[in-house]
Amino acid sequence: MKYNAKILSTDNVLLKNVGNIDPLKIDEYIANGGYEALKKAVTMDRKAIIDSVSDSGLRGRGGANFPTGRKWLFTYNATADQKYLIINADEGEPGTVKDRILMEGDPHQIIEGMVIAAYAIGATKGFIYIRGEYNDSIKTMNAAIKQAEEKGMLGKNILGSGFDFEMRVAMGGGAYICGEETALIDSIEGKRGEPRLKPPYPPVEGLFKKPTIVNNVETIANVPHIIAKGSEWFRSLGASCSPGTKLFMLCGDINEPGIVETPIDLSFEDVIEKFGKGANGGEIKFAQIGGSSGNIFTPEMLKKVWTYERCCEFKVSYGTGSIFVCNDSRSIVDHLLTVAEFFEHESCGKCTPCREGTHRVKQIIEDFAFGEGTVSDLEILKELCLIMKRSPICGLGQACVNPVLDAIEYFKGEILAN
Amino acid sequence: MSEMIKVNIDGIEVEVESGATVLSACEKAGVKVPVLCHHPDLNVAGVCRVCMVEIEGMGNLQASCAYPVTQPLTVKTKTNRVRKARRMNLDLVLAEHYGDCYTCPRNGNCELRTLADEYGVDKFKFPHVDKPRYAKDTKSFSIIRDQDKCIHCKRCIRTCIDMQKVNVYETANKGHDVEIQVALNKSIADVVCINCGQCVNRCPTGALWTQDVSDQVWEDIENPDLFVIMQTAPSPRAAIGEEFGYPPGTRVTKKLNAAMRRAGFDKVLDTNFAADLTIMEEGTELLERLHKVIVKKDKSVKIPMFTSCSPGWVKFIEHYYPDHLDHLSTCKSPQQMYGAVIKTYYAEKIGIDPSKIRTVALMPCSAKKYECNRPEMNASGYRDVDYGLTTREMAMMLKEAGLHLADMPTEEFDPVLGEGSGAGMIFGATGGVMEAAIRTVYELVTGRPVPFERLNITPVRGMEAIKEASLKLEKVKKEYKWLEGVELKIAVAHGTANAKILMDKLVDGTLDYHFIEVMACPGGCLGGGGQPIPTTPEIRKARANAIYQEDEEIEIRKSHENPLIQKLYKEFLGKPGSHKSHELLHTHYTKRGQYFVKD
Amino acid sequence: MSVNLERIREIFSDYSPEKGNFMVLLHDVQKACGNWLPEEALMEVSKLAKMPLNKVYGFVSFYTMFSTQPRGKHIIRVCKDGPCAVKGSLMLADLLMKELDVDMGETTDDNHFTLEETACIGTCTASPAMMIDDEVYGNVAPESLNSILKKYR
Ligand SMILES: Cc1cc2nc3c(=O)[nH]c(=O)nc-3n(C[C@H](O)[C@H](O)[C@H](O)COP(=O)(O)O)c2cc1C
Ligand code: SF4
Ligand code: SF4
Ligand code: SF4
Ligand code: SF4
Ligand code: FES
Ligand code: FES
Repeated sequence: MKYNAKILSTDNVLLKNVGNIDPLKIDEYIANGGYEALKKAVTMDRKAIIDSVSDSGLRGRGGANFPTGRKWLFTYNATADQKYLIINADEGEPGTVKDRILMEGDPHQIIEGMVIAAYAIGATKGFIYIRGEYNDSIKTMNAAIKQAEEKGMLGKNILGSGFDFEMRVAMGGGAYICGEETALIDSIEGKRGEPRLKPPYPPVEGLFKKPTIVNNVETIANVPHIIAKGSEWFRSLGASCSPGTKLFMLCGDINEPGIVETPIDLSFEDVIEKFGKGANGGEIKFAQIGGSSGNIFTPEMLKKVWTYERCCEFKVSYGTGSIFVCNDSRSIVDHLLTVAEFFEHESCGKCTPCREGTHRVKQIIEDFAFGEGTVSDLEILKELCLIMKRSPICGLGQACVNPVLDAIEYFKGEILAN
Repeated sequence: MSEMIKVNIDGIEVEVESGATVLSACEKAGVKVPVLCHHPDLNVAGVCRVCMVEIEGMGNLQASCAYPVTQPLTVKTKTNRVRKARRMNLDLVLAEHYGDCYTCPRNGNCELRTLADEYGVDKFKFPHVDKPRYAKDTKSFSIIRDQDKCIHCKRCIRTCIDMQKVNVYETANKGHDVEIQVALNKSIADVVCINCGQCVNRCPTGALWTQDVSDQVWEDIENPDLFVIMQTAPSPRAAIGEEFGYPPGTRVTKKLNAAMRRAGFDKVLDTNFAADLTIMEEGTELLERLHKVIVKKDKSVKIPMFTSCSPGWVKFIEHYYPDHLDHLSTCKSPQQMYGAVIKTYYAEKIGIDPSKIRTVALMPCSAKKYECNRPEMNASGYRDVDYGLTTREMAMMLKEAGLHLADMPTEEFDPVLGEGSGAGMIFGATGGVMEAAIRTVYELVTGRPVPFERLNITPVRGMEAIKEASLKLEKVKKEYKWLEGVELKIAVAHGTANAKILMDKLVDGTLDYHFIEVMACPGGCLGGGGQPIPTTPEIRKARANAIYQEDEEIEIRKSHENPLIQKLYKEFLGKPGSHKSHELLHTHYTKRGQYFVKD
Repeated sequence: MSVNLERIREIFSDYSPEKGNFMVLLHDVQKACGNWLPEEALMEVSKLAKMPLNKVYGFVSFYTMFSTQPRGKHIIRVCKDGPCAVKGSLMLADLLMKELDVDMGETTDDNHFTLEETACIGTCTASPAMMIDDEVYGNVAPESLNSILKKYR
């Protein structure tokens, strides 16, 4: 199995071509309706494209859910001699495989989305930053870029429109933090991937200090479909506040692990049951949604439909869309320890609360894992986590305590019993 | 000027320029916010997160040193959320800090300790590291590193990379394994470090320090066979008072003389004398070079000539512009010239065998420690200078000996080679060497004093990054006819980042000057790496004022008019640039790599 | 093994900051040097990229895929993150340590294999996962380990 991931859903948009066409053959993509959206886009007014994306209600799929059209508008409005578009393919949240599947299964869908976006915001140069471990993705994207150039979909005077767009693959080197957009930008610049202080934000001052849009792979893959079929169509999928389909990944204690594309109109429990054939090895004890920094969902919570609005209301997030299921034989403390070790290693180490905080979080959890934790340790842990949520520089330090705080809320008894 | 924006800090309204930081607004409002990674000389880092404040409308706390004011803000600096976050972040740093305050050179002047004290971090929440984890790096003649005390504030990195453009340090590794390292984790002695000590001066803790030679000096003082001679540079005298509680800019030269005698130094001499000597030699060298270039059209002689009295600058050019060493004046620094003269002429005068003499130099500078250990610095047959002491070390020695400056009488320097001119005094400030040189060169060439009010060549004074001036040479004496009408173009740069700007122009062939002064440290020697901590822009200004005041009060303000100098040439050296001068007072340089030390 | 400076120069002839390819080329240099970056290679890169050595070193030490210590001909990376951990990646790591007689992060005596841990490699729907060089292996059953290793022996 090439992609190491089974596609579990059938009525797909983004995954439609994956497994059904040869990703290394641009003609197969074109034969399936590919690059039609681009042809349409280059005849459109640039602002109209942005409006269309805004109207569609598309939100970023990289975890932060920022409205894509609104982000593009910042860069569209910025005046600069050079603007950049970067696609974030540093996919590093444990449990997340979607960007890899999209790149390795249907690379031209991404390129098409990129050219449309670049045209809209006025970027003539772009990068797709792929994590260093994703060799197949890097090879596939490089091959696809070459073919697209040969077909006139990339490079000078694209499809006779007069618009030039040059795109390259940039590589990661094994640092999760480079998924954070400003760290990613520094990494492309040949620097340590340490997040920048914000403001300024990339749409105004990004790569080489020029206005830069950073979008996730899945986000950009939606763009050709929105342009081809219209924002109405897009909004008709799923709940009104979270339109479109979303890729979810089922992993952990699950009978049928794999990837699912679905509008957000069903609960995570439904996704687990309907597509993943339920949990294996016992009842579900909890699921962590959206990777290591994602929230922990109890079986109760899994029963709800988590639209964007509901997520906001309950201050949780589905992040990247990974659903990591743990059955009742799993220990919450063991799980937290794995997560804490991950962040102690993956923090960039720049700011105190995160560099030292992740270390101390791990230390305290380790104490519990060895049966040495006390009530007051748990209090210190909670206080530390609350401060880490509010004072580090970037989203890593702020979000990495989510699962810990959730676990303290839902599994306090178990932690203390350890 | 850019737009002014209203900021409300704890109920106090202030206006700041758009783009200014919230921290600067707090300062303006008189609200104190604790900082660790912020330093007024450096770019924003925003990494320590102790300067957190609450900004209305924002969920997260913000680092006040990093947050720019671009719209009206309401800021709270004392809420419980803020207090707790500051405490926690300090606590996290402290728990990871292996230090032993009693034995730490920064005990009593440590920013970390002060904050811990002020913020009442009275009990550790986390297990404290209780063993050293790193070996101290003590190999360098100048800089010592003790990584166990490092709190990762990155001030040293920003100092070395941004301010000095030397590129010694960088953050290494990732996550909790992050360390501040020298490239490839080498010893600082083995890389491109120019020993300027600016990083030491900005480190908030005892993680960086200078090689301390005071124990050896004490030993030598006590040794009855040895005769220990002290020479003091102008800058320490304008700053050492700070170590004893005087406000910056207090002049304590004469009290210091007394204190040092009581500490046991056999003679106390004034490096300004040697600065005058430097001017004589360097001025002569400049005129010789100009003659060769203008009259003889000798292509092998290089103009502009750069001053060479800053050993940090010398090592900088050796590393980064090894193909342009011909532009450096061959003159030794005043410290080394003095050493060579003390162990020859002066030894004879006072009738002491030079092998029994130890020369100690009180300097504002950590690079002087390296300089006096350069293998070639032994023209007299002995080490020209045996020890370089920084201002800070001297202060510690005096305190150790119970010698408080306030209690001291005022005393003069020792005679024979005792005193320097005002021109020698201003060597301590950026532009000072240039001013001193021009006072002499102009007068040598034209027979008239420089055409500036009270001899103050103001265009080369002040803290501007690169200063330039030109001076038309007219109605010259007849032996300098070839200089008639020449517009003498000069420039002054302080801080090696500014020097680099000039050097890059030199490489491009667009540098059009005759004579350039470079000091490795911002502000010149008065901002040297061995000076009291803190050193800030305000403090540098205060020290500069003290130095210029002293110049004006000294009767003799031109090097060539110093009678002791005239006597030295008459009795010993012959004339400036003589064979003997070259033997004792001039030196040569080493081409070094941009990567590691070669020698 | 001595460093082939000529090869490094060739690789870096395509370098320009605007191309954002410093990392891409450094990966190639590392491959050319036998899976690690010796001091001479870093100095050459520093020269070619006009990037001071401290920065090159800071860069290299940040990214876990680079090493300044010698490594084996093949690098085995075992995923240690949650989804793989619950599916037995720790046991997999133990087996590999025994089989190769090395600890995590170490290289076998014959310089053939280096065993490392890695963060998630995007194969979590086929856990446990590991990589050998550029190849990803999902659903790695303990029984299949030997036949996989055989391909590289
Ligand atoms: C620690 C951290 C890691 C991140 N990793 C990724 C990632 O791997 N992929 C991604 O697309 N976005 C990631 N992001 C989010 C990006 O910063 C950014 O918001 C996103 O790429 C924007 O694209 P979008 O608007 O299309 O979602 C990460 C953020 C943080 C704070
Ligand atoms: S929060 Fe963590 S990852 Fe983000 S900048 Fe700070 S140390 Fe780096
Ligand atoms: S650096 Fe400060 S806190 Fe640390 S040992 Fe020295 S005096 Fe104490
Ligand atoms: S002494 Fe100067 S050159 Fe050396 S590391 Fe410190 S700042 Fe850099
Ligand atoms: S050595 Fe000093 S200045 Fe440098 S990071 Fe450490 S504490 Fe800060
Ligand atoms: S002083 Fe502001 S973050 Fe360090
Ligand atoms: S968690 Fe192991 S591959 Fe993702």
